[in-house]
Amino acid sequence: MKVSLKLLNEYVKVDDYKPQEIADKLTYIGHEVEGMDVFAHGDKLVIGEVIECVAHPDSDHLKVCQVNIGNQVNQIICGAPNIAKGQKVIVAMPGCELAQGQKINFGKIRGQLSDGMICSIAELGIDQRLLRPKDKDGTHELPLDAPVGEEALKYLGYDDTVLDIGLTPNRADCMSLISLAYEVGALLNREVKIPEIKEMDELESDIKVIVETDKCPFFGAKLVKGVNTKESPEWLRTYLMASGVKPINNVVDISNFVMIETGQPIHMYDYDKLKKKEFVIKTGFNEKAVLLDDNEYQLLPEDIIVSTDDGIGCVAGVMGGNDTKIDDDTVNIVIEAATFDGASLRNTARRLNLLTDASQHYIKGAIDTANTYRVLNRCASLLKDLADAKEIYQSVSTPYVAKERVITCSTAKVNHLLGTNISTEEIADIYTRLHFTYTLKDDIFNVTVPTYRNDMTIPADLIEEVARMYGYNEIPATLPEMETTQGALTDVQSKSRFLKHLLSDLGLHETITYTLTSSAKVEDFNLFHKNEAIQLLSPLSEERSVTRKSLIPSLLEVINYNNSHAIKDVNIFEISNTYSKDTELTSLAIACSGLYQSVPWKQIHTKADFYLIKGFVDTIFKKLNIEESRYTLKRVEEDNRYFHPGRSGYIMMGKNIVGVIGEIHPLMAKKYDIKDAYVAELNLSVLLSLKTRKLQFTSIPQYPSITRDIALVIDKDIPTYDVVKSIQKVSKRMISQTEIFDVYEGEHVEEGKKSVAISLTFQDPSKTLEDASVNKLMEDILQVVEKQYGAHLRA
Amino acid sequence: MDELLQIKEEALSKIDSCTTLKELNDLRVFYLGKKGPMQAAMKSMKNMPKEERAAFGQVSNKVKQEITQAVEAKKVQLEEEAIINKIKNETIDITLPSQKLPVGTIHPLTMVKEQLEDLFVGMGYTVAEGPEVETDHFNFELMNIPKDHPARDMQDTFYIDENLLMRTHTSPVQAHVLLAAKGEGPIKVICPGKTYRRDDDDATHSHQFSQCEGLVIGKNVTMADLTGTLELFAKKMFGEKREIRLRPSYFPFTEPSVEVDISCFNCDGKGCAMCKGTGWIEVLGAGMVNPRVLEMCGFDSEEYQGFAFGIGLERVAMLKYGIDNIRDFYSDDLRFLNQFARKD
Repeated sequence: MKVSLKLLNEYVKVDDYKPQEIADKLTYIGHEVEGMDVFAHGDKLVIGEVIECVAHPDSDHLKVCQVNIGNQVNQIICGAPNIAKGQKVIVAMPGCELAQGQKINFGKIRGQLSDGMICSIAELGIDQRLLRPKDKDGTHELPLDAPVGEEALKYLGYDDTVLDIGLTPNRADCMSLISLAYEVGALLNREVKIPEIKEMDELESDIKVIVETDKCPFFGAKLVKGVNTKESPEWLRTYLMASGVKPINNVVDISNFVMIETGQPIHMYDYDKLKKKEFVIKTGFNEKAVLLDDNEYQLLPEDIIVSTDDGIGCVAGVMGGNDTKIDDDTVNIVIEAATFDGASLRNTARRLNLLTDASQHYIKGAIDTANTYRVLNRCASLLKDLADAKEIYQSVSTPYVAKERVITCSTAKVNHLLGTNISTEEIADIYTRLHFTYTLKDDIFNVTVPTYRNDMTIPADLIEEVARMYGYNEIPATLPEMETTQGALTDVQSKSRFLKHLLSDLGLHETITYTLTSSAKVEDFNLFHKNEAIQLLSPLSEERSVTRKSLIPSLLEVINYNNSHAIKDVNIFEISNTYSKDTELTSLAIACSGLYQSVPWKQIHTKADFYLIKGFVDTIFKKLNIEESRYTLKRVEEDNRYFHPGRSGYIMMGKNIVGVIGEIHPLMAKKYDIKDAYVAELNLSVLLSLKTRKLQFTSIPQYPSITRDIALVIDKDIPTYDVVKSIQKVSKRMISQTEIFDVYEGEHVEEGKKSVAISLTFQDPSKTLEDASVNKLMEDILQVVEKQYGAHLRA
Repeated sequence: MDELLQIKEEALSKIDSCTTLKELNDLRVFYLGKKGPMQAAMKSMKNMPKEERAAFGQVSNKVKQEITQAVEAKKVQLEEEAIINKIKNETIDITLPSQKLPVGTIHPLTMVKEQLEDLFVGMGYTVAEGPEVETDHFNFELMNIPKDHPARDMQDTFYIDENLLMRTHTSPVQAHVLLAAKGEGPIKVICPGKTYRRDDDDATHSHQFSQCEGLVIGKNVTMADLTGTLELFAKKMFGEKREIRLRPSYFPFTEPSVEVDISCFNCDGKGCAMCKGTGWIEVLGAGMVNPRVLEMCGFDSEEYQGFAFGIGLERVAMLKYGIDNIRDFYSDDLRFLNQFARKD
């Protein structure tokens, strides 16, 4: 909201403070000043009189002017078509800095000295949209009685500073300058001057008001006759421009000015265009209508309409109809000041794309309904003063009884909530300054809040008022005194944090990617979600229209992003939630592409592959103490289109898939435009909640172990690890370690077979092993593998 | 006797001048072995008179001992020399690069989250999480933002259907925590998590971002306690010299509500580009929990009161680390991530 400090000063004295001081004070009571600028730019601008004006000898459009600026006469070259002898003009002296840093210098223009510049209004840096064509085209002619040599901006009333205030949603009442003045008045302990309205002789009105909807709590109308439409006086035009409103003519300007002053939007109807002098406020229209901007709009039954002559008189609070609008020929005016339901109005204004300034006042709740009669009278009075209105008629309205709001609060309560020690007298003083009326008994306040303070409803609101005026920064800083609570992460939280650090320590980069993805990608790699994907009602784009079910697509996108920025080796992970209808679970995904480790001069080039990813997963399981016996790896389906069927496996716990390790299917590599990627995804919601054995020390074996290597030849399709597991089963007690150290196919091994070399470590926890027992175990092992897998020792 | 001493002189001299372990071993075998001069000298012992024999025996043992010791000492010396000679050929170029181990990184938003968790857990807070796909009831109604409330204008929401949405703030976790507590305090909790708003992504806006909510409920928790807590937060996260400044603001779920600025750590409050010349930087919103929220969540607002605050993690990370584009957090460019390889 743009606030002219000069206009504010009309209601409460602020001109003895620097603008920055007022800005700071407003910010400190909750009306954040987000920006501040002077209304007009230019530091050395004076009023001058053109005492001579002759054609430039070397130009057919320039003039050489002699300008009296009080203590001296300057020669100034001027190109404005309207410049003439005898005019009073705005002169920018040499050294003057105008808007956009334009600096006026002493110099020569086509050989003639020019000592300054004669300015147009547009050159003063005022928003061009607020100006008339004549303000832009030529020099500004000041009244003939303008005092030569005086500061021009001051004379024009342009020596103003405009504050840009970001009002909080609860204080829409401050869209009214009077309301804002009450705030400043309370803070500075100063009187607020409400414009006086002179008693007017009011005639009886023939206007009728009928409200047929509950969305219009109040509707007031006032007839004014004999209006003369013309340009507004300069002071009004200047205040409007400083407030960011373009002046139109006196009638329109008055309605805008009254809204700035009171927060109440004003609409005006041409009385003579009404056949029936009746306003019916209702809903239920379903038709197209042309509004006063000459555009056609589709109205729906829920829109609040002020109906005149059974048609669309006005789309309530949004925009008037074309048929009843006032124009330059309007003489008799019906002024409307009403209260409409903001929520309903918001829907209408949004749908029609007509979020006008007036509609914002309703939507945000700036209206002080109890003040409507005063507003109507203020309009009429201004129309009388500035538009020569001849007849003023009585206001007509629906019945309205202002409800008094009384809130109770006590000094003890104030201090109990704020942690302060503010006295009853201080609180009473604050309420008085805020124009709250109250009764005080002991330390209990019964406060009647002013009608414009729509935000005040509960005792906490009253306490906030005390805090605001007392000063938030005067409140001491303490720490809560309360019973001791134990602070800790939950088991799942601390495991999740542990995993992030584990994987980062293992060389992976943690990523955080977007939850929202496209429907074209949402089913890719999904393993954990059986339900439908969650679709947004109104996404910003198809790319981000549905919540993801798997993290892998996001990681592939990160690989693609980095690859396209010449980073080929990408090793990443993410822990985030994945979603489907009624399900939200936490997943961990890993993706590696390119080299995992590279030390070129040592010829170390560890490429990411299936076994690298399996290593990460194994380490995670080991660190989480999920024993190998609790899960198995099952090859993915042969026709799987997300994972490479020959190089990927599901991690199974019983019949449930809790994770996957694999290479992405080349079709997916193509879709995500990357070379390849090895990935894993784990369902952490399951894995982090598993019960695991307590960490318990077992004593270090005291007896030596014996190691034997064997090389077995088996069919190449037999999973190697199955053989190892069978070997382990021969004696869980005695076989302490098995390590595959070679897998070989090719020369010296039969076609269709492979040779697997395994190193076996035997250990008896209770005594020193003898060769004989080891030999016996070896025999048993060979028997088992031969029986189960047709394996024989490699010759 | 003289013979023995002569042998000793000779042996010690040879041992001393020998240069290889092999040579030394040969000398040891020669002098102490069965065929050496010592043994030959010993043979003459049996012809000696008894009293002389004893003295001779003593001397010969001593000579043997000395030679053995000399051999041992020489051996140690030669072995050491051998090692020293050997490593002369083992010189490497220590300026060649290391066998670089893969060094991963923790995402800066996680870093900030963990710093906050550690700070508040240390003060007795627990950490709560809530669903990101949230109900309208929790996200808005229980936060005292009824339908058509003007505050909903501030929050452009990704709706899923009439009742479901992507949560627009972490505040609804407050409601989950309060309801779970069934009207019984005290509560000290922070709630970090992802949040979503219907904003087009640009340098300062992101449709996805993260917040950390804080909530403290007790019988005597005051606004002064909120101030003290936030002051501590500012000092721990941004440095001991930081001060905070409170400005009245408005959030439907707190009353009074505050906007919190910290003194600019870039210029120490003197005014610079970072703080737009004001000396202060806006970091978070907070306030005393609105009694309506307490009541809706099963707490007696006459008995209990407390404060809540909401911190934007991106904002903190951007300020702390000088990141100027919020999109950097989500593009996961390794040139960005790699800058967070160290402990902060």
